[in-house]
Amino acid sequence: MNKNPGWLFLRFAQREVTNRFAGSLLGGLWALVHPVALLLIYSFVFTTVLKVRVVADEGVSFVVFLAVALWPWMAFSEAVSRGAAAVVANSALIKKVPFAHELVVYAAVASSFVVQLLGYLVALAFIALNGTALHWSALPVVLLGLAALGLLATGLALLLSAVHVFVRDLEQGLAHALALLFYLSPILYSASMVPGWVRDLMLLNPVAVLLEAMRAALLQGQAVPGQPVLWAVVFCIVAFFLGRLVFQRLSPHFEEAL
Amino acid sequence: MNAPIFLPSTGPTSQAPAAAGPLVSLSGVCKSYPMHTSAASQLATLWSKLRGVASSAAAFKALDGISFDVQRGESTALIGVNGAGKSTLLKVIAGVVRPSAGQVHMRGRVGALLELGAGFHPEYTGRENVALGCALMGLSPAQTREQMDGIVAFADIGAHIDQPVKHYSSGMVVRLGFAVATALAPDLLITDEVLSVGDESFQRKCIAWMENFLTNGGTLLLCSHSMYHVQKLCSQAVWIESGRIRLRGTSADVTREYLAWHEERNAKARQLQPDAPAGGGGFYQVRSMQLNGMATDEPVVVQDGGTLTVEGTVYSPDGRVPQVAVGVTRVDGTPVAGCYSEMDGFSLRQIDAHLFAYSLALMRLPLLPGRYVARSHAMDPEGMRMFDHVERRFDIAGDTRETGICKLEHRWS
Repeated sequence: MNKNPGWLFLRFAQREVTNRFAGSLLGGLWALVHPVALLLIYSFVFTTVLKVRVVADEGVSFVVFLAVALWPWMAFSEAVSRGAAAVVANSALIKKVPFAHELVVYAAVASSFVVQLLGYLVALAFIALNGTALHWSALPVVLLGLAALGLLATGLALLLSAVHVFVRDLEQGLAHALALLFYLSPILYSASMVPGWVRDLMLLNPVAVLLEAMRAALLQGQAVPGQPVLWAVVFCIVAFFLGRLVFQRLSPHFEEAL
Repeated sequence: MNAPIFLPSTGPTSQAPAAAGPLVSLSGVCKSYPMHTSAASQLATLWSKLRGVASSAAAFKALDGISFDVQRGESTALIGVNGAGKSTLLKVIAGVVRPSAGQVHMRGRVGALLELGAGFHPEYTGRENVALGCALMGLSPAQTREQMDGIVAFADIGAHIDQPVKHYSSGMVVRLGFAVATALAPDLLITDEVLSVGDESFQRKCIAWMENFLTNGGTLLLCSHSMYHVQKLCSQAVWIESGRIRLRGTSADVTREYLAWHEERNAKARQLQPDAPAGGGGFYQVRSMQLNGMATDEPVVVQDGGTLTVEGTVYSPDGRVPQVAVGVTRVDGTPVAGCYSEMDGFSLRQIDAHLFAYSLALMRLPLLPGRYVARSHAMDPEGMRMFDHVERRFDIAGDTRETGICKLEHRWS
């Protein structure tokens, strides 16, 4: 078996990144186009059409409020959906060449995070240059949140990609589940706007907790994460190992079902 | 993103540094594939795999208790009909498929060429695909850089190497795929019918590389339907039938048996040979027949260039001296030769009132290795009518690589 999994992982990840833009004229710029378009559409709908005063207490414009949570969400959801499809997408390779199958999932997750987080950096720089004060002192909380989201995405991607080999319906269901999760998480709105009992339920959703914490850190300088954040991080770590366990159990049988 | 990416590999093969003992040893290797009739049974299988217990679903046994060793330098071919399990066995040895039961032990570096150009991405240039191919085979970045020029030179596809693979002809893809494979220099090279790729000149290059690989101590494990390749490249052969080993031995022996079995099967399928009952009646009839003194149903083995003696007795209802014809055919019914006592002026020896004996020696048999049939036909004393016949099979043994039915005296100049 392969003696250089790290090198192979890098090659896979590089392929994933260039794959998406290979043959297109704008290349890497497309990575920015999608979230920026979403950002503009939501801003138009919520501030111009519906005139919802969502962020009275945040003291920032809706675009900024949305942007700080939108990019981490994009990284997460893209990583889960691309990661979940990674094994089936590489079935030709898995059936013919011996290598550690998890590398294609890691590569899909890592490349999604790298691409989206570069966009996030550009977006944050743009926001800062436009005069909105971001609290850079709370950066560790943001990094912790991103790391936890990355772990959760990896765990889910490992679990789903392995199950996907045997249950092909999963691909259809996953897009809907991610859309649902998008609206159930405080991305377009803030957790403070929802009724109390819903907010309590939201604490069970680690994505919601982490996105809220990252927003609070960047916009209000909340540098000390609360207890729910720590629980969410623990959840993400557990999810990663659980996903890995399932993947390791199923990975020897991929060839039978692909 | 801080997920650990350095996981231990979880393949079925364990690799140890080169040491004494066979390069590959398989013991009791089984592989079954679940057969699903409904979504529910598929889910049940998934669940049992997650719990790590054996699935209760109906399974197709692709491999059923395969055990053999491949010694260093003893190239081995897997032969068998389509669906016999050869490719699955190669995949198990290559580490792509984990056996359901049994053990695979590897002592050395394995290169698997199950499909040339597997994993090439159409949007990338040849050079980029070579880099990924090298990484997949386990080469480090430094080794990849070292090998790159050699690979590009071997593939010899000119400026196309910097073009996306989607613009390649299929021949160029396999050339590049084979070139990548040459970079690894494994102890054991596993290939699945990929020996003849590309155009004439590239094929020569592949064969030359393969011969060089073999003379330098490399070991080949291949699966092929070409008995020519099997005999040329491999000293050992394993005949797989329905997931089990039917025969193991030198490639000359195994391919001979295999071809003979094929010929017999074809002959049966065409119903060319209704069995001749040796019952009584008022006709001229062959009553017994021996080949080299043996009257068994098992084929008699004769070395090529050796002598085959056909003996027997013929019943004559009227006590007149009958004639006999001895014919030799291939096992599929292709006629090879016929000898007639009447033409040669031979008169059968009378041993009692109605029974006459004959003996025919066929010397310095020029037949090529394979399975043949000798038939004795009873004929009337006039040599006009042919009555029933009795047949016995015989095998010609030998290591010649000539093809056809018989050896022709020849000289090159």
